[in-house]
Amino acid sequence: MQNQYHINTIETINLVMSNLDIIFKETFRALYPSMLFYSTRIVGDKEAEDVVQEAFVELWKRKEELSDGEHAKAFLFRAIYTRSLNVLKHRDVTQNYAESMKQIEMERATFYQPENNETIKRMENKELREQIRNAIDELPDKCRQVFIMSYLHDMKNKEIADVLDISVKTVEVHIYKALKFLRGRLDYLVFVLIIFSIH
Amino acid sequence: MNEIDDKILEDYLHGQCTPEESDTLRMWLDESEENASQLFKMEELYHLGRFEKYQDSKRLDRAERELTQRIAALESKHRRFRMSAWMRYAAVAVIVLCLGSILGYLQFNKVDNIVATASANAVKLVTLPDGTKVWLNHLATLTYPTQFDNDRRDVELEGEAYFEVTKNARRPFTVKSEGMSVRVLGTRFNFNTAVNAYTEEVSLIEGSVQAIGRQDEGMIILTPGQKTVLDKRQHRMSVEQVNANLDAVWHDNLIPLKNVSIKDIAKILEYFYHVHISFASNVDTSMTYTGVIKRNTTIDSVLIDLTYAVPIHFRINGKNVYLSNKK
Repeated sequence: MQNQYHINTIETINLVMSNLDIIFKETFRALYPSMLFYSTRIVGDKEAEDVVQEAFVELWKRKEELSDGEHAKAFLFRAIYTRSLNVLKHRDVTQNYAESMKQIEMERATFYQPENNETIKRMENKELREQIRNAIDELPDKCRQVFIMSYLHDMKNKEIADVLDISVKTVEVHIYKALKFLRGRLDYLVFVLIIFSIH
Repeated sequence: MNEIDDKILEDYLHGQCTPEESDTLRMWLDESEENASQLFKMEELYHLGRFEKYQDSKRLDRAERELTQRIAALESKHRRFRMSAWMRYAAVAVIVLCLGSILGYLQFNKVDNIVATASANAVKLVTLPDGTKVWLNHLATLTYPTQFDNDRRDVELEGEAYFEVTKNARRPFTVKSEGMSVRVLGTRFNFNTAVNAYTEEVSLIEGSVQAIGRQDEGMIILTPGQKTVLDKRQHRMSVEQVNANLDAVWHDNLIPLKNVSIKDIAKILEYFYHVHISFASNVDTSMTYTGVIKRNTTIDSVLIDLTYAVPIHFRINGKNVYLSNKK
């Protein structure tokens, strides 16, 4: 009986933060997509999820101080950025992975540093996302179909070729054309963004 | 500013640059800061166009489960740490503490516990001092104090019970069983501590609950419509999406239905009455019904009730039920 009493006390200590747990859970669900996007931009698909998980665990440890949304967000961006840089630094240069790519990645990381408010703002800009989707819709039919399969559904060129009964070469040409077209459109968007960031 | 080759740009966006291509790209970036800013902005826009991928709900659920496990691992590490530090104190301190708490228990313990048990053939409704209602299923036992403390409401459960907990954020309500500790602020949920010899389940209908495995199985916060299952043999906790309302039907024998299609109603009836239901081709199975069906002892009395609300006709042949349109 004494033993049981003791266990109960310990559990009670661990249970005190229930209200905060609920807030934490809601914060997690609201911010996870942006944070995963952010981390993926710096370290890529493979390691991003892990980095984001670690950042949220850090947030958990400080949940008492960081219950307000904006602080939590700032904290997460900073935590993800620091961890992501670490991942990049420890990445080995292998045969297919050139030293120059590593340098490009480090430079790209600088672009994403959390002090760069413009980047963060763009990430949360729904209109901007819509404009990009509109640009995709402007592609000619067949080209759009191929591009969407590749871009939005992560299908391999070979799979697209099989589904649409065309050659892999044709798939490649469509994707190339789509990217070239979008680049023109996105160049304009980039231009617009530069203007906005001046003002 | 020189233009960069489209092919290199494409390979870069796809993460497929050859070493030669990345060398070229690197040199192009070095030419001017503007090149770098242009490239990275374009890359960002390229990925922003598929932001939806990152909002995928399955992915979010999976990430949430992983985070829960990571936090549980962290918490249990802390707990062990606390214990070992504590154990470093001299045995004398332990004895003093034990004596102290026993004395304290004897002197100041004015709280009496009430033990309520449902009989083998009836559901028992218990109202707790704070107004919380608990329905005890057959042979379930609930232990609760005649008066709750100011900062908490703790009860113990063996068997199955359905709870409607009075809201009080400052006095969390905790139900303990052998395997789990379930903590809520104010909510409706079903807790079955004896699904079988080694399984316990909590189904949440409304509000929010936190379920903790008492053997370090982890902590799970449920949202309405979720059920957590604790396997006490394997020491594993899992979460599934369920129609949580159905898990609590036993307490009042009412099956609540909200915009449920005839097709799904058939599934629910198949579940409760172990029958097989088929439809005539003239029945619109997407037709929905909102209301409550009383769970009667036989399938025909339930179907008779249902025909008052929905224009269907039924025929029963042993375990087979055939539904057709009412003429």
